Amino acid sequence: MARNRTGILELDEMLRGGFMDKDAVMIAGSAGTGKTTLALEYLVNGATKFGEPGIYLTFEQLPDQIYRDAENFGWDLRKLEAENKLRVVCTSPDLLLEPDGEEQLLGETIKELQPRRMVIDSLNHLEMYVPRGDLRKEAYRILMYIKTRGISPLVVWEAQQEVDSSYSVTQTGMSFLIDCLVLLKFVEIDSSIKKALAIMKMRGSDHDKRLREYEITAHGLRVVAPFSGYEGIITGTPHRSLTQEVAGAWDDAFTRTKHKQQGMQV
Amino acid sequence: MISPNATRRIGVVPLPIFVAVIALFDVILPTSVAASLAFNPLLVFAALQTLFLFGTAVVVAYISLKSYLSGGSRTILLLGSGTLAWGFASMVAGWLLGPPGGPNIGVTISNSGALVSSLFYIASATTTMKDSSSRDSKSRKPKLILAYGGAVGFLAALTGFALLGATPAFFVPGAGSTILRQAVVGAGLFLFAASSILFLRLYHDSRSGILFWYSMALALTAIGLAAFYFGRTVGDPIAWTGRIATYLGGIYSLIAVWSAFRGLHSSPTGSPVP
Repeated sequence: MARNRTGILELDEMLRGGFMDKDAVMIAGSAGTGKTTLALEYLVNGATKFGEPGIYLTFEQLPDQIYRDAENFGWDLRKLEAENKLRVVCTSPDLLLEPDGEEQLLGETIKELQPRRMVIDSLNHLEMYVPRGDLRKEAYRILMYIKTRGISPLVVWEAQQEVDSSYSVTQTGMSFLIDCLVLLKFVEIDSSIKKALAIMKMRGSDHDKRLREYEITAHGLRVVAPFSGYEGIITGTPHRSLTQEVAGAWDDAFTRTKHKQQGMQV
Repeated sequence: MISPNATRRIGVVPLPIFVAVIALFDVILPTSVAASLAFNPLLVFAALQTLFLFGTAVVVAYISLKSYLSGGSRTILLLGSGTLAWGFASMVAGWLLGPPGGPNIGVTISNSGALVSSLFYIASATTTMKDSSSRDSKSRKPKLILAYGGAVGFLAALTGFALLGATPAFFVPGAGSTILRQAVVGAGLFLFAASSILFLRLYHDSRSGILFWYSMALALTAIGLAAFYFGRTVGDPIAWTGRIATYLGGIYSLIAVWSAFRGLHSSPTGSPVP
């Protein structure tokens, strides 16, 4: 089965090789979690490492802003566009929502570029332009348009992270449209804010079920270690398991350096 | 409600009692009388060894395992390996004390296990003096397997050799302990006592209940080994005094875990219990 590698080693391991080809992938998370960074990295790596051109369709930012932000990660989008490996399309959602809008907006680019990947950033903007309840229908139409042209779509969805944490991805009612759901979220652990990534769903494939910490580095997203020993991260109440609590206290007691850190007299 | 300090003072009481009883028996019991009082209900002994020494060691080794995997402290790794070695050797010795090999096999394994274990403990206690945490989390699992597996594997191999009669004699029926046994037990006793003192020093800095009870557990094990050192024969009153001291040491190590479980080990500002 063909896979679309993200080029982020640990994430590809979690995905057992990458996203399934032609699957509709959703990256969901609250503001600042790095959804756009991940989406761009997926496109840039596809174009530069795997020979898979891509389209970045955004309703969110102006082109200059996108190029500048990408440069901060060392991604030269203008160069990729010049090499016919990438297109950045900034538009208004209403153009896409017009009858035959997707063909008018993307048809030429698709013919010219022969892309294998496409990012839509973000579905929330579409939501503002469609009557309540029509988002599913419009999203389905757009995703089908992309898929039937042999392109693997990846959509970005900004989900509100509630205090109790529960994420409302499924409340969008688009679960059935999405084959793979990657969740990004903030978690508070040991009095510090960390970023957590989980693959909530992946149709037709095994995947890593663990919640992993990730960082946004100068070179893009880096998945670090699983949050081992913690429970309740997804529900927003992370706490260490009982065994881990005991193990932590055990470690604190026997490790003299920790006493020093805690300001104890040693 | 008893205060933590009172609880700990009570916890110290058995130590001088055991020392006094061993000293008393050593003075008043001639070898012939001690031999006539020897009591070795094999199944009971095996069950006691398994429950109080192996069972408690498994709990401590498991907590140490979880602790090492998350924190990477070499102190904890060595401590877990030491406790596992002691528990494993004690259990095997318990089940092999009787025929067909006679007491020598059980004594060989038990005493060798005590020495191996004490080496781990002293290494653990000395690493508390410096930063001994491994930052490389990927290497922790292999190191853990190596340390735990090495401790158990070595003692399992030793058991095999002892059963084949390929190890030097530790105990000769009718003649008693050999010089080798005295040396091994003596070294183990010294190292257990030294480890206990080093951990106790750490306790004085942190007032941690975990450290207190674990230091006491090691001290009781050292007292148990002293009893084996002075004992006339296997299962005599001195030996039983020592066995009971080691069983109490097992219970104390569980109290140390319980202190961690309650999250109430003491700190300068915390409320220490027990």
